[in-house]
Amino acid sequence: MPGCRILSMGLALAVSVGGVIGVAVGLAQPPASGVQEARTTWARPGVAVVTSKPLGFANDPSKEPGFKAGGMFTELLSGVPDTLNPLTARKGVERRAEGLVMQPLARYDPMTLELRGILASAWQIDPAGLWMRVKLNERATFSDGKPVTAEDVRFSLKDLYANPKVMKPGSAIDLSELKSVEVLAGEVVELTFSEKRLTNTIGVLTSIAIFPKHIYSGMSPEELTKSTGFLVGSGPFMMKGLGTDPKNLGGQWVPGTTEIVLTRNENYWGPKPPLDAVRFVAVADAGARLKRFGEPDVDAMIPDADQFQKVSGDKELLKTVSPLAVTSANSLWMGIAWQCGGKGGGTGPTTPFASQDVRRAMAILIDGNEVIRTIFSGVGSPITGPGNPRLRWYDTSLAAPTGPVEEAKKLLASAGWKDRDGDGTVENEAGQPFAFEFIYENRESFTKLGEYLTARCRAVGVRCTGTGLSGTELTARLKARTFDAATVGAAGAMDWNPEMSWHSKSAAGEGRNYWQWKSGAADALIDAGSAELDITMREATWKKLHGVIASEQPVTFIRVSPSLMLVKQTVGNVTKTRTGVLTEEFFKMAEPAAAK
Amino acid sequence: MRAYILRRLILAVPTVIGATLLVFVLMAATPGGIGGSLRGDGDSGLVSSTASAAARREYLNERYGLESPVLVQYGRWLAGVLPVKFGGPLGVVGVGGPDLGRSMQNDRPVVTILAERVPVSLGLNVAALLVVCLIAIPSGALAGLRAGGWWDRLSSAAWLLLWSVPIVWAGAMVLHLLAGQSAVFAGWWGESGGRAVFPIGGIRSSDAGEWASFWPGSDAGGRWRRGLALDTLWHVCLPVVCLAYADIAILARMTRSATVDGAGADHVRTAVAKGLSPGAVARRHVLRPSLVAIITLLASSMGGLIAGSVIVESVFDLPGMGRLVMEAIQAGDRELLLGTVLLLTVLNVGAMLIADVLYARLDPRVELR
Repeated sequence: MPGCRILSMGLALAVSVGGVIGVAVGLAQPPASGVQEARTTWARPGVAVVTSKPLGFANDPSKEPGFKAGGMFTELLSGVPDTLNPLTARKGVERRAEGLVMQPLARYDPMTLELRGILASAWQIDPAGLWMRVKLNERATFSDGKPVTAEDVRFSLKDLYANPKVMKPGSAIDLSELKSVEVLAGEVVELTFSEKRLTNTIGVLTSIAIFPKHIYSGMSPEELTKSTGFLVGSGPFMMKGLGTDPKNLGGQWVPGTTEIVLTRNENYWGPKPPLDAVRFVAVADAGARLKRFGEPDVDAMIPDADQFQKVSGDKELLKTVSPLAVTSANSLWMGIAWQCGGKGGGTGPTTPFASQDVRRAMAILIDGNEVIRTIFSGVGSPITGPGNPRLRWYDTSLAAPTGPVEEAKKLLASAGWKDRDGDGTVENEAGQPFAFEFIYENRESFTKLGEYLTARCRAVGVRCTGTGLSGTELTARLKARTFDAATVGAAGAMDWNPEMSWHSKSAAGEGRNYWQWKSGAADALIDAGSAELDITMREATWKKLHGVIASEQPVTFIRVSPSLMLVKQTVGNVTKTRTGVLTEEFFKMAEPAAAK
Repeated sequence: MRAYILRRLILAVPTVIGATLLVFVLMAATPGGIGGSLRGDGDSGLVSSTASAAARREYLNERYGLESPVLVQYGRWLAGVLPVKFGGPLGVVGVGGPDLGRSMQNDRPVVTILAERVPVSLGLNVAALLVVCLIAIPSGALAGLRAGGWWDRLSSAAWLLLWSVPIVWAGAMVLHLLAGQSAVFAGWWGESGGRAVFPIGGIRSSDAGEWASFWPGSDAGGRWRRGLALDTLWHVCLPVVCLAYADIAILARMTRSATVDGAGADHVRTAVAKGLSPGAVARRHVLRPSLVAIITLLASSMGGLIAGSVIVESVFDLPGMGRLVMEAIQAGDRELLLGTVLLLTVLNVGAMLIADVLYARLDPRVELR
C-alpha cells in the first residue's frame, strides 16, 4: 500500500540520518582517558598518543587565606654555586635557578607523579623505544615573548645536549644514543634513538631544559660552556637585569656573587606566580646560615639535622618559623650494605655476608624504628627498599625482617656460625671468629650507628668494629669493594634505574653494585624492566624487584631522610607535595600564618 | 748584598718546587687522591649505564691525566707553570707566561679564581695588620718603658686573655652580640625594630650593586647611601677584629720585650748620664732600636697577607683564600691547590728575603753573607 511504502521509506530515512548523526556525534566526543588512537594528523598511525592536561598550580595560591600578590621570597642556599648554566651545572644548588627560569617538555605532577606536559602538549613513544614524537604546547613562549618552537627543541637536543663540543663525555645528561631530531610540520619534533632505553624517551621529556635558539645560536660552544649565568627560558621567573644579547654577557651572574635574584616573567604563558621576585643567597657555613636566617629579609633555609631539631624544640621560634620535613620521591635513603662478594672484588676472600642467612640475621638485629628514634632524633621513616613510599613502584606491603635475638642466632647457626668454644663469640667450622669491620662517614649520627651495631652484634656473639672515614675515603673503599659492611645511600628516583646498583654486571668495574650482590631473579627483573617503556608495567616489575631485594638483604635499609626546611610563617602556600615544595606557588603574607 | 740576594733568589726556585711537590704528593696520598670529587661525582640525571660511567672516567683521565703516575702529573703542571716552554726539535720553544691551568671543579682558569679571592684576603689582612700595629706597638712600648708598673701588669693580663680566646668562639660571640638585627645589642641606641650594629657576613650589602657612589652621600632620590667604601668597611669590621686580636697580643708582648731589652742597654745608660730627657731617651735610644726587630717581623709576615683564615672566612661568609684552599683540598682539585700553594710560597719566600735585607739595612751590626 502506498501509505506503508511511505512509512517504511520515512523510517529508513530517519534511521539513516539518525545513524549518520550518531556517528558524527560519536566521533566528536573526547576520549575518556589521556591516551587515544592516533587520529591526529601529526602523529604516526597505530601508536597511542598521550595527551596531557596543562600543568597548572598544584595548589592555587589565590585560594589560600591571606593571599597577597607581590613581594620577594629569599632562601638561603647551603652551598655556593660555581655556575648556573644547565649545561655545566653539577651541584644541586646550581640547578635552583634553572628550575624556575627554564622548563622541560614534561614534568611529574607534584601530587600524583603522573607525567604531565609543560612545553609538550602530547607525545607518542614507539613501543620498540626507537623513536618518539612530541607535539608542542602552542601557548608556550620564552620570556621575551617569542613562541617555543620545534626548532628550539631540536637546537637544545642536537646542538647543545648532544653536541660533544658542549657536553663533555659522561656528563649528567647522556644523549649518546640520540640518532636524529627532525622538525615536522605543526610544531612537532621526532626523535630517533639507537637503543631502547627509558632514559632516552621519558628522560628526554623530563630532564632537558629547552633553550631559545634565537638567543643561544649566536654563541660558540666555548662561549656556551664558559657562560655561568646567562639563563633565558620559558619559566615563570627570569634572571634579574639580564639582557637577551649573547654578545653582551655583562649582566650575567658570575661565580663569587653570593646572591641570585630572579624576577617574575611578565610574559609567562602559564599561571603567573604571586611573587615579584625570588632571591637565593649562598651561605656556606651552617652556623652563619642559621644566624642569617634570623634576619627579617630571609624567608627560608635548608638546615642540618641538629639545627632542625633545635628549632623544632624551641617554642618561641615555632611562633614565627615552621620546620618542614618533606619526604618526596627524591628523598635520600640510607642503609648498611653487606659485602656479598670477594673483598677487593673478583676472587678476593669472602666475608660472612656472602650467606643470605647471615644478612637476614643482621637485618633482624637492626631495628629501624629504634635507630631513627634514638640516633636520628626521630627524623625520617623506616624503609625496606632503595626508595620510599612516595614512589609508585615502592611496595608498601613489605616489612623489614624482625624477630627476637634468638631468631638471629638460629640464622647464624644455619650458616655455620656457632659458639664452639664457649667464649661468647661465634665461630665457623674452621674455628675463625665472626668479626667484621663496619665503615661509615665520620659523622656523629653514623658513629652512634656504629656503636649501636656493635652492641647488637655482641648480643649474638659477633664482633663488630666501627671505623669512621672521610667521605672521599669511604667512596674510595666502596669503589674498591674493600669493605665488610658500609653505610650507603642514594636519592630516590621516579624513573628508577636499578641496573647500576643492583644488577650482577654492575658488581665490578664502573658499576655501583659495590656490595657485589648477584641474583639471577633480580637480573631477570632488571633486564625485563629496563626494556619496558610502559611506565605502569615497568613500575610493576620494580615492585617485584623491591621484594627480591628486601628478601635477600644485600643492603639492610634503615631510613629515608626527609628534606628539611625552615620557613617563616610570613610565607603562604607552602604545600608539601610528592616532589617537594614548590617555590613558584609561594606568596608573602601580610600576617604570619599558623604553622601547618 | 747583591750576591746574597742573587743566591737567595736562585735558592727560591728549589724551595718553591719542593713546597709544591710536597703538597702534591700528600694530596695524592690522601684517600680519594687527586680529583677525588670529580671521580666520586653523584651520577644524577641521565647517566644510565656502566658505559656512561666508563666514558666519564676516560674523559677525566684524558683531560686531567688522573691515571698518570704522580710525578708525571706534577711534571706536566710544572711545565705549564715554568716561563721557559719546552718542546720541538731543539727542546726549548720559547718563553711564555705561567699557565696555572683550570680548576677541576668548575673549569675556570685558576688565575681568574685567585684574582677574585686574593683581594678579599689581602684587604682583610692589611686592615688587620694596621689595627695590630696601631694598638700593639704603642701599648707594648709603654709597657716596656714602664716595666713592672700598673700598665705593664694590666696589659700583660689582657694580652694573655686575648691570646687564649679561640678564634671560633670569638667569631661566634661577636656575631651573637653585634651582628644582624637579631643580635643582643641590636638597636642598642634606641632604634626600634632592631638595627644591625654590624652585618652578619659577606663583603658588601645585597643592594650595593645599585649604588652609583663609592663615597657616602645621597642618591638621586635624596636617600642617604653608605657608598661602597663605607659599606665594605662596615662589613669587614668584625672579621678584622677577629683576625687582629690574637696578633695584637703577640706583637704587643714582643714590643714590650724588645723595649725592656733596649732600655737596659749600655748606650741608654750613657744617654741618661748625658742628661737627655726621659722622652728623648725613649724615642731615640730605646724605641728606635727595638723597632728593628718588630719591623723585620712584620716584613716577614707580608707573605701571609694573602693567606686567608679558614675560620674567620667561614664564620663571616667571606670568599677568601682560606676557604679556597679548603675547598681545593676537599675536592682534590690539583690545579687550584697547586696554584694557590705556588702563589703563597713565592710570596713568603720573597717576604723572607725582604725581611732579611731590611734587617741588614736597619742594623749595621748585621752582615748578610
